[in-house]
Amino acid sequence: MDTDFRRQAQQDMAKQLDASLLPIRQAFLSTLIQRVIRFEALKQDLEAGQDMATALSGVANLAHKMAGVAETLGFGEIGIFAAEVDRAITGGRIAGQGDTDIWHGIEDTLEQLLDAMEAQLDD
Amino acid sequence: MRFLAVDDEPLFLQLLETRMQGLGYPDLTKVKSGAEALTLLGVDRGFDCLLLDIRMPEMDGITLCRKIRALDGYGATPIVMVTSMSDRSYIDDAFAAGATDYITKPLERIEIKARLGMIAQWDAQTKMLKASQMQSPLSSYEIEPNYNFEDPITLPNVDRLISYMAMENYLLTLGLKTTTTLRAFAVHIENARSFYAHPKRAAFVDMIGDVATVVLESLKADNVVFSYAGGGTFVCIVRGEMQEDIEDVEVATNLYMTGFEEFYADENLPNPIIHFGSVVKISGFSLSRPTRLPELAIAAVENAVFKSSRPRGKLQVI
Repeated sequence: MDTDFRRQAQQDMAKQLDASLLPIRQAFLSTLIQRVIRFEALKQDLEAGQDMATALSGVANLAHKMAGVAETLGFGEIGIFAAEVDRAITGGRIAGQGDTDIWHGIEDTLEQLLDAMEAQLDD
Repeated sequence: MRFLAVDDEPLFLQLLETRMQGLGYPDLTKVKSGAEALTLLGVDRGFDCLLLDIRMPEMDGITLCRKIRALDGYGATPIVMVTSMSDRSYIDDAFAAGATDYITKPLERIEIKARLGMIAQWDAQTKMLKASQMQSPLSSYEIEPNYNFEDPITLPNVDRLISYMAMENYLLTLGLKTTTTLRAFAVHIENARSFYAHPKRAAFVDMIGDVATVVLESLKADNVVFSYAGGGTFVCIVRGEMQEDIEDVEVATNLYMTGFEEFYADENLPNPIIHFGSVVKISGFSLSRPTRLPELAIAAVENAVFKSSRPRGKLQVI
């Protein structure tokens, strides 16, 4: 899907959000910067090949937590990328893939997720 | 209704609380881990429904579900898994651990409304039954004796026997496409009514528990979901191939049951006469609904018992 189109759809969804969810949406936004910093630190470990198993688990857990709430709060793009990263790591492990292969498989999607999160910080 | 939600993501707990308040369920207690939940449930037996995340650090939701089922007072309380994990293996494990229902995140308002509505209806009926219950000795399976013969009663103390509501939810969660890969058969106790009519009401529930235990033992299979459908009939859903011949299982079950003869004779009761129906499945081209599968299995066993014409040994695709 085109990124601008996605963002527009996301903004439309946010407008339609139940007013009662707005404080939670705000709380989610306030945690975004910490989540980006954690993702970046784990990404550095993965790029350096340091304790990749722990770093991948960290990425999967962070992504999993975001995937469960982002879409409902109107951040559809973040939710979709987060779920994709989580699924690729857990699925890769179940399928017996090595850590390096899993990392290369999620690298681009993780970057897209970070872009989507940073775009919300810019807004 | 009092709810307890367990999730390690505080924002999700807030989201759930807001959604539930909007739907008229304001009484929600939130905890962030399985350990916290077990501590709380150990001292408070008053929760009416538990909502569990699956993926949590230290203790996952499936382990937590299994531990809750072993707690006093929580054998039959509805447990709903609320999770992002939509893989088949998680769904199978959750229901095998005793879950009643399964909702996938992200949380859709309409879905949570429908699922909680069903639980609330069940809760209201259960409470009404308890309120109108006659004083009568409980059976060793600890179920209140005020029920009809046709009711799909839940027996919390029988290992691997799930409630009929949970079985239907399991099939609905899997969806029609996956359900067409499953097989099912039903088990009927021909003389169940004579147990139900016995002055000692607990005799019926005890017998249902005995038969469930013996059938599960005879099946020697882990890939089954077994449930009591009411009216003296059980339904067994088989994931994958049947490992045992159904006629062999029927013979083994009736043979095992002879070991109970003495106990039943003491109460002037006959030994249960157990029939197995044909193995059925839903055709891949069917436009049916997933819950049609147990209905077909029940129809097959009724056909076998009442018409005494049992074309068994081959699979019936309907």
